[in-house]
This record gives sequence, C-alpha cells and structure tokens, in this order.
Amino acid sequence: MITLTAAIAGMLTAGALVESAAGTTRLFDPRSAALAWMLCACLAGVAMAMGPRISPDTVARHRRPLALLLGAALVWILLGVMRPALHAADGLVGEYFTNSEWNGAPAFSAADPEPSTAGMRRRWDGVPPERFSVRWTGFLTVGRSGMYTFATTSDDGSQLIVDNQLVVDNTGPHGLRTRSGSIRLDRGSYAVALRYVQYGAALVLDWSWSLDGSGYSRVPAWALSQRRTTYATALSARIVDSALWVFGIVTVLAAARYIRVGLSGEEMGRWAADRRLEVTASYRNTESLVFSVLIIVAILFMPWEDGGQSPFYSSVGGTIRTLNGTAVTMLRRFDAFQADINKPHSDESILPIRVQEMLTMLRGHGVERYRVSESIEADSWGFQQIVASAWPRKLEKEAKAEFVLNGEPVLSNCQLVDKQREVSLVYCP
Amino acid sequence: MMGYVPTSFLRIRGPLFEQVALTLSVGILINYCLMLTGQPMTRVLGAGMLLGLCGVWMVYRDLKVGSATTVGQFKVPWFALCCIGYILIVYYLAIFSEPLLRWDARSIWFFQARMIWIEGALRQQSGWNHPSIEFSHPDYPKLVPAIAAQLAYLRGYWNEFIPKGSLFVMLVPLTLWIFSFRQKSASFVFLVLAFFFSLGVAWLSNGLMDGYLALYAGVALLSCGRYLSERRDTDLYAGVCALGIAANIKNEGLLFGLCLVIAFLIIGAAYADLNPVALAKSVRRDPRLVTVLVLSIAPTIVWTFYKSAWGLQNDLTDNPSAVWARLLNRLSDGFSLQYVLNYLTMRATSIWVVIGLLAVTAIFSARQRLTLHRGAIVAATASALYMCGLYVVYLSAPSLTFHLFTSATRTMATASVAIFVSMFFLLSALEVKT
Repeated sequence: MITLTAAIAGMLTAGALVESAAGTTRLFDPRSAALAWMLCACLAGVAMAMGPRISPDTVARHRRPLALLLGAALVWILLGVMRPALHAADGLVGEYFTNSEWNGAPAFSAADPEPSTAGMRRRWDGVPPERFSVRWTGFLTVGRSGMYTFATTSDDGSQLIVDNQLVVDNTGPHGLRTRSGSIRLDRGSYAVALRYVQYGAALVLDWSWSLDGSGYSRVPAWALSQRRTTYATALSARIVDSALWVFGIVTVLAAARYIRVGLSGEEMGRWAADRRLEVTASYRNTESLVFSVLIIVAILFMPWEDGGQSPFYSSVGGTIRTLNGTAVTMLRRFDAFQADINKPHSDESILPIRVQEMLTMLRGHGVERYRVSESIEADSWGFQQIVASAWPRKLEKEAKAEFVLNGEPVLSNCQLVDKQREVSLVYCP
Repeated sequence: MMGYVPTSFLRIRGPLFEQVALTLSVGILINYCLMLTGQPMTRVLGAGMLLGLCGVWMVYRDLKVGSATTVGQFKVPWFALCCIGYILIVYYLAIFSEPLLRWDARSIWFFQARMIWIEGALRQQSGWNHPSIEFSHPDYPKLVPAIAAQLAYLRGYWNEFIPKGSLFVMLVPLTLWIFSFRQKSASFVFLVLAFFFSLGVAWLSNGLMDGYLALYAGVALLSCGRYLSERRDTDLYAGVCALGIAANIKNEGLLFGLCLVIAFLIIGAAYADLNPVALAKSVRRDPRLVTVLVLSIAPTIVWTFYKSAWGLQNDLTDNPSAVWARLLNRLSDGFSLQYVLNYLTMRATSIWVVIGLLAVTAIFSARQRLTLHRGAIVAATASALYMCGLYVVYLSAPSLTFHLFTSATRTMATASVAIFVSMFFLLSALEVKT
C-alpha cells in the first residue's frame, strides 16, 4: 500500500514538474502531490506501528529508501508552501476580452506565468474566439542596468508599454510580423503592460528581449511579477523555483527507487500470485509491467506544451472527449451534416467579408483578370483567399479592373464600377 | 481493388489488415501515377474502374481456388473491427464537421485540388507557375489534392466539404496498418492511442497534411521495424508503400525517406544479416517488391521532372547560393544555432521529454538484459536524422522566425511519431511473446 501511494504521489510530483515547465495551467496541482505524500508518510507510520507484524527483512529493505523518499518529499512540500510568500516571479495578470478593443469587462482573468501563444490557447480551452484581445499587466524586474530592446512577434497586433512608455508598437491586423523598440532601464522593477489582439486566422504571440545588443531571448518567467518587487526578491524566487525543481526531481527518482524496492519483495510476488494476475504472464516480470504502464501514462496522458499553431500532444483523454463530442453533435444534426456535404456550391460565408464582396463583384461583372490595391494585398490571408476563391479568374498586375478598399485614394483616370460595404471595384483604362 | 491487380497480396503470408491496407495503398499510388500522366480525370477514373474490376475478379479467383494458403487461417477479429469502426466513424464525422478553414488547407492543399478539378486534369495548363499563386507552394506533391479533385469530380460539384473526403481516403489504410500490429498488450494500446489520439483531433481532420505525413512515416517505420525482426515480405512492401505515400504528401516526406534509407544503411553496416547489397539483390528476385518499389518511387521522379519542366521552385531551391550564404551566416552568428535548437525541441514541441523517456526505457531494457529491438534503433536513428535535417532547413530558411513560428510545431510531428514508434518497439520487447 505504501508502494502504491508512493507511485501515485511520484506521478503527481512528476506531473506538477512537467506542468511547471510548460508554464501554463496545471495538470496536477502540487497540493495533490503534497497530500499524497502525507498519506504515504502516514501509511509508513502505521506500518512502523505494526512493526512486530512485519518481517525484519522487509523493514530493513524499506527503511532507507523510504526515509530518503519522505525526506525529499518533505523538503519539496515545504519549499512549495513557502514559495507563494515571496510574491515575485508569479507572472502577469491576463485579462481576456471577447472583443478586439479591450473593451468592457473581461470574459475572465488569470495569472499567466508568461504570455505566449500556447498559454492563450489553453486559456480559451483550445478554441479561441475568432476575434479577441488580451491585456497583461504587472511588473518587470531587471537585474542589470542597460539599454533593453524588446521585440514582439505577433499575428495579429501587439503592443508593449514599459514604465508608461510605448516601447513596441506592433498593432493592427497583420500576418506574422516582428517589431522592436528600446528603453533604458536601471536595476529594479517597472510597470509593464503587454496587449495582444486577434482579428482572425493565425494566432501567434512571442515576446523577447535583449540587453545592450546581445541576442534576443524570451522574457523569462522569473522577471514577471504581479506586484512591484525588488531584484533580490525576484532572485530569491528564482532560487526557490530551481530548488523546487531539484527536489521535485530527487523526489521522483527516490520514488522510482522505492517502488523498485517495494515491487521486488517476496511479499509482492506472493500478493500477485495470490490474485493470479494475468499480467505477470504476459510480461517478463512485474517490474517491466509497472515500468511500461508508467511510461505509457507519462507519454499519453500529460498534455505537453505545444507553443505554436495548434494543439500538439494534447492528452489522449482530451482528444477522445473532443472526438466523441463532435460525433454526438454531428449525429444529432445528421440531416444538416449530410446537407452540408451534399450542397453543390461553396459555402462562401466562411470567407472574410471583403473576399466575399470581391467574389460577388467579379462574378457580377464577368471580370476575368483583376488586380488588388496594396492595402488589400497587405492582408495576406484575405489576399490569398481572393486569389484562391476567384480562380480561374486570375490576378494580374496589368489588369484594368482593380479592387480598392473604400475610402482609399484611387487614380483620377479610374472609374468606379461597383461599391460594396468594404471594397470597391474600379476600372483603370 | 485496383491495388490488388499488380500485387495479389492474398497469395503471400501476412496479417489480413496489412494485406487490405497494402491493396488500398497500392491503389492510391496507382491512381496518383495515372493522374500524373496528365490525362483527364474521366479517363483516369475509367482506367481505375477497369483495374478495380480486374482486382475483384482476381480476389474472387484467389479465394475460390484456395491459392491463398493463409485465407483459411483468418479469424474474424471482432474487437479489432469494432475499434477500427470507432476510429473511422469518429474521424469521418470530425473531418466533415467543419468546412475548409485553416490556412494550409485553403491556401495550399485544397486550392491546388480545386485547380486540378477546374482543369479536369493534373497538367501544366492549370497555371501552376502563375506569379499570383506563389503563396500556394505549387511545387508541393499533389497526391492528396489529386484525390480531392477526383472526389469533387465524382460528385459533380465543388464545396467546402467534399474535398476533405481525401483525408478519410488516406486514413483508412493507415488505420488498418496500425491494427495489423494488434496483440493483447499495453504496447499495442500505446501504439493506437499515440497514433490516433495523442496528436489531437485537428491534425487528422482540419486539412493540414502534417499529421498524415507523420503517421505514414510512422507506419513505414513500424513495418520496416517488424521486417527487421520477423523478415516477412509484406512488412517490407508495407514499409516501401507507406514511405512512397509519405514522400508524395509533402516535401518533408522526401527528407524523411532519405533519413530512413540512411538509418537502414547505418543499421545494415552494424548487422551482418542486414547487408544492403543482399537486400538489393533480393529486390531482383521479388516481382511484387519491384512493383511496389516502382509505384512508390515513380510519382516522386515524375513530379520532380514536372517541377523542373514547369519552372516550379521553392524558397530553398530557387537560389541555392543565397541559401548557402544564409546557412553559413547563421552558423557563425552565435545566436541562431541555439535559438533554432531550443525552438524545435522545447518550444515548438516537448520532444525533449519524449526523448528523455525513450532513453530511460532503453536503459531499463538494457538492465533487463534485453537486446535493443532493431526497429527501435532504426526509428530513433531516422528521427534523429530527420530532426538534424529540419534543423539545417530552418537554419537556411529565408525568414527564420516566420518559418519557425508557422511550421515548426507541425514539421516536428514526424520526428515525434518516429520516437513513439521506437518507444513501441522497446515496450513490446518487455512483453512475453505468446
């Protein structure tokens, strides 16, 4: 029983560590691991109290690895309890809005260890709205004085304000674009606000910095706090975080060692034999079985960080739930589902409005060759969709029919042919 | 059924699911070869139908005359069939649950499919080298777009759902192949879960091809790995066929194929019974292998020829001297090397964790005095080589951050699946074979 508890607590600890590395929401709350370790210690205490009923060999074999394990777990738990009191390196407060203007009350708020694409995606449960905005606020702590250059790479807009100065302006709807800006910072803590807005299609945000012209690196989580703090406190938090990692790993390794001791005993063999475990027949030995199961669980059931475009290594449970949910929904609306497939024309409502308008005008006026203004071309998603959807009508630079955004200046010799809500068609002989 | 005509898989020994998967996959390759001839889709589909009818007759003949010695041994694997049915049904519904929305799907794969559908054939007249469609990477292989175009042709119209049927066509042989590895064991459960459920639904349903590339590459590794231990011919055919399909899904498939061949040569040098020269000689004695090999390689060669003739280039091939200059520059700038490595292994994916677990499993196996499975070594080597290849490709890409941000998570999927395959072989070695 102690071995089983240690195995569960070890897995919870490993899960908590992996999730700490991912820097997003936790799969396993470290408190669960702490509780499991306490239960393990209690069971060990009960076992010791039952001392006379346990063979001296078993006690001798278990004593040292169990003491090492419980000692490491105790330090890990104490560090974990102490850590929140430092109030540093605890991330920025993110406010998530369902509009693209940071307007009104946020849909929800959360403390994000570091702003990132994967973090945002997780916050929206993997399904972010078409348009949304996020505002992170907090404090950035720097240890060295110097000229700091910040860069944001985003799709769509982003903006960085440090110490009430706009340092990076990467706003507006656009594809993946990097913008940077510099500010001189002395050692200390500075108010920081990072804003991100998504207008549709790809979702990317990366925030990096460099000091005095050195290479760019991601702004580290230890430098971000929700309260103004000193560099010494941030450094202490960083050290405690490292210690948490070290003791977490030691705890997991000690748990693995203890489990091995626990499983190799004669009593475990008898227990398995008594219950006629079939698994022992299909595996080389119990150790192989336990190892295989642990590895499989570790790989398949932990939602690893993906950091990019779409969820990767999502947990198996999550994928099966999504698949089953989709299947049930589709079966409930099976007629509509079939009608979608059997409808003989493109469902162009999924295209951006301006693309739909351009298609309508191309067809309505029988235009075979067209071109678009630079403003329309700058929106790469819209540009590609008009080229793809209009095909075999071709976009050619010499074409006389041109699409321009409403309000955009056009050459004097061009005649307006058609005007829709966002886009106009002009003819330039 | 047209895949059965040149190969008659019922006449050789192999799991039922693998033979059906092989027949379907060879059919896919034959169909692509026919499309690459530039003939109108009517003729391609007509020829396919004729071949299919021949295939049906040949299956009937083989079953009737009992030339298939193994046919009588087939038991109906009900549980496996239920699992296959579940996977295919839920993915069918997921695939058709949403129209074409994603960038790659709309701007590359299914735009190219629409071009083929509009032209009625896969030929230069579609306008593949038109300057306005450079964003669509017209140099990419056309296997999946060709299937999508034919589905739309058969239905007689285009919409945002029909072409996604090509994903389902690709999924069926994949599923059957995986279930040819079925056994009552945790490692097989791991394999099924890893292949169909650990990548997330989107990878196999939203029209991006990276998931399919990764899984076909994974099947190639699985089949080659089983061939190395059991030496059954069908595994070799399956490996070659899956690799042929992978190479025609995306350009990265070619890189992976190269990595797998190199991995094979490395392993061949280490084991006397895997002499590459002996393997090459066996090709001459096996007409089925020759057929599968030709069908797998021919589309790549033909498409390479077309690309050259039609003037289709990509970022890396249009200016080799600039690529070389970028690579040298980034090798020496003191930043890019670490940045790309960090991004690929820690930010785009968490492959470092999986590699760590693989290493732990290898150490555990060694302590159990087990010889490392050759399939595991091949898969791990191919994965490592593929990662190195990707590393060099990214270092020489025109816009480093853009390419890393937009594609690294997806391109690394193949490397991750290869590690899964390696892990599967190691885990299955811990089991007692019954």
